[in-house]
Amino acid sequence: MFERYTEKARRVIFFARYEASVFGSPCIETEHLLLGLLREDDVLTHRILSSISSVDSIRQSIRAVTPARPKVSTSVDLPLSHESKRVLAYAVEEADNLNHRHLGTQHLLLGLLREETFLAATLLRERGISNKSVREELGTPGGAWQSKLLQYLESLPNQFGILAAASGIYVKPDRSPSTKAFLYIGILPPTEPLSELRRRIDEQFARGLRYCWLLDPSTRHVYIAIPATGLQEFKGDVLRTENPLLELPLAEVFS
Amino acid sequence: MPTGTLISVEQYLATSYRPDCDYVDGRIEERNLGELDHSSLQTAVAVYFGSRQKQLGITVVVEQRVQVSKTRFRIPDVCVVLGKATEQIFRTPPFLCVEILSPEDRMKRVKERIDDYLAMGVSYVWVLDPSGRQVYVATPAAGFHEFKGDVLCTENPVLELPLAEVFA
Repeated sequence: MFERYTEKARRVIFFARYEASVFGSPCIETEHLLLGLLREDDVLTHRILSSISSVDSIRQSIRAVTPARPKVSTSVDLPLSHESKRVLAYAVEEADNLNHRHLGTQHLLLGLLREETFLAATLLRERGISNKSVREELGTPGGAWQSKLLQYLESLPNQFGILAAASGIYVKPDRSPSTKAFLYIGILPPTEPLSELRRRIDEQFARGLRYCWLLDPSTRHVYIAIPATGLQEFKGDVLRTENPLLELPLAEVFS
Repeated sequence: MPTGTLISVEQYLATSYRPDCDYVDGRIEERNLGELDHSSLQTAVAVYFGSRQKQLGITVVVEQRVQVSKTRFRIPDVCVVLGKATEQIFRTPPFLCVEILSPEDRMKRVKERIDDYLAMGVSYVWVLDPSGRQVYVATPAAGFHEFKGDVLCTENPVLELPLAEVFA
């Protein structure tokens, strides 16, 4: 069942089981999965929740709505509740939809948010965290960055075909529906493992893409990938493709 | 388990973690390891260079604490020092640091580690990905880039690592 799980995701389940025993629960509920997630992945937690106090407040909220029960020994086998099983099934779907081979903590979080009527999703929603906001935070460009880039691409004299997808922008040599994109521009996915990212880039190359530009707005690092040389850091000021020529001054997106 | 609590350099140095952790500006950062692919490749690299220490005039160590800056300690998976290593905690830049990727390792964090090594003065950083068999090289001059050849190589001195030997 957990073969696809990353080590961190497995530990979320381990900690969820621990949390369930602390709360004296007869099974592992969605709120225990949430606590396991918050305990295990501090990077994700800090990206999604603004501060440690939010983590504490979630724990207090769970305590407030959970009947006080004696602790269960950690040697007792605690099953997953039906809702928690659905969360894990949703997480698998999320990983599949994103074409990720491994199932990580980010997929578990998205899975938790999909089980909308239960405590974990409610607690997250109360703190302004929705499936949409998490997807945006976890690597979809959206907002100002994407608008700025689209505006720039539209202003170029060449009539490039532009496809704005959830994960980034695909650029085609022209606007004909039959031409394939030659360039992808996206934000460096903050939670996607490097090996997974590299595999996805290869898949895009196999479909005809020739350039992949990944920008990290927080560090202003830029990575480029082309089939011949693979992935590398870009150190210049202007990103460039050949045939067709497209230039993107980094100041246009990082300003 | 990650912790949000800040600790001092002295506390970090006085503490043993199993497995050992990085120390980054007061925070303890766990390293992603423990799985077979990671361990096998780490062992293969260490054995390859370890068996040639005398011949190459190098010292090869695994999971050695390296103080990369005043407030940061990193633990490369494999570390190569020219000549004989004498420091208990490396404060002199090693010649080569090798990192093995785990399925959890994200680009941003990998790059941060590489930048720490290069800023300290490490001449070469090699990053090996056991799952995709990708290899990345970082040097102060060329930055971070994917390596497409069969034999990883340093200059001055020349150290060579045939990838077929370790990815076998």
